[in-house]
Amino acid sequence: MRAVELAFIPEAESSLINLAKAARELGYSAVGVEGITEPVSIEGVTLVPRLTTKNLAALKRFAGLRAYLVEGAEDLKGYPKLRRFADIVTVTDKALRRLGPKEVEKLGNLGLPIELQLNPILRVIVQGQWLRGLRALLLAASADRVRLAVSSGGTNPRIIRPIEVKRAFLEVFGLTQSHSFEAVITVPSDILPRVVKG
Amino acid sequence: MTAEYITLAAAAAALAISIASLAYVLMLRKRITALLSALDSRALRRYLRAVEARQRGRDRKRFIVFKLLAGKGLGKDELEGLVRTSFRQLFGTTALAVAGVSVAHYNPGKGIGVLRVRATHKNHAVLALAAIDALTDGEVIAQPLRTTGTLRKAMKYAEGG
Repeated sequence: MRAVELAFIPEAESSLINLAKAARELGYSAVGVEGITEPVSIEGVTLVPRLTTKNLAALKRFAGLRAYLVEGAEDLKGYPKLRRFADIVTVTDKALRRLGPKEVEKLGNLGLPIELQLNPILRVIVQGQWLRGLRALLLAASADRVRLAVSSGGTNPRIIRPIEVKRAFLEVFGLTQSHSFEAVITVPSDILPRVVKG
Repeated sequence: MTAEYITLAAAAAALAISIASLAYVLMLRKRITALLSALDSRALRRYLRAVEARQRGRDRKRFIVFKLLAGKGLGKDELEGLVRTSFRQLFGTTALAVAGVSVAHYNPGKGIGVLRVRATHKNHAVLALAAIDALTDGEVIAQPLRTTGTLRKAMKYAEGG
C-alpha cells in the first residue's frame, strides 16, 4: 500500500511539477491539491482536486476531495447533513485550541475521518499554545471513537512532511503505533483512491 | 465367548487411545515447531539483544539522517543549536537533558547530516527536526530521511544516497 498526502495548498509561485517530484521522493503516490479542477498525473504522482470550505453547497457541486472546514463549535451545527457532502472534516489549528470533548464526540458521530494538518499545528505548538481539542481528539482516536487522517497542509513542496514525521507526531502525543499507522497510511489511502474513482 | 468380547473391547479401546495420542502428538509437534520458529525470529533476537544491552547498562542510540532543504549555509554548531532549541521548545529542558541529541555528522556541501539521539527519544528528535521551519519562519527546513541503529549505516546512507 502506497501512502498518499491529503492536503497541499499551493502558494502563487509553487509549480505542480515541483510538488509531484517532492511527493514522489517522499514515497507518496497521490496528493490532494487545492485550486486544481481535474486530476492530473505528473511524475507518477496523481494530483487530485481538493476543496476545503464551510460552504455545503460548494462541497455538493465539487468533484474531487471534499473537506468540510471546522474552525469552532459553531461549524458543527448542521452536522447531520455533512456525511452526504464531504469526504473528510478538516479541523483547523484554531478549532484545536477551542474544541472540547463534547464537540469531539459530535465530530466522531459524523462517521467521517477527521483531518489534522501538521504544519499549522506545529506552528501553534512551537508558540507554546494549549491545544485542548488536539488532546481530546487523540484520546478519542485511542479509544477508536474517531478516525484520524494526518496530512501536511503544506503551502510549499519543501514542507510536505514525510510519513516518519507524521507518525512521530502522533506517537509523541501518545497514540499507539497501530493507531498512528492507521491515521498516516490506511485512512488517507482509503479516501483519495475512492475520490479519484468517483 | 465373553472372554473374546472383552479382548475385542480392550483392543478397540487400545486402538482409540493410540489414535488419540497420535493426533495429540501431531498437534504438539505443530506447536513446538511454531515455538521454535518464533524463538528463531529476527524480532525476538532483536528484543533479546535489547534486553541484554539494558542489563549491561548500555544506551541504545538512533541515528537520523536528515537533509536541509533551506538554510544550507549553516555550520554544524549552528545547526545543532537550532535542533536543540527546537527540541527544548517542544519537549522542555528535562527531555533535552536525557535525550542526548547531537549532530554526529554534517556535510554542508550536500546539506545532509546525521543526528544522534537516545532510542527512547527518536520520535521527539524527528519532530524537533520537522519543527525547525516553524521556529525559523521557513528560513531553515530540515527533512528527516531515514533512521538507522548505527552511525556506520547512517553515514553510508548520507554519503551514498
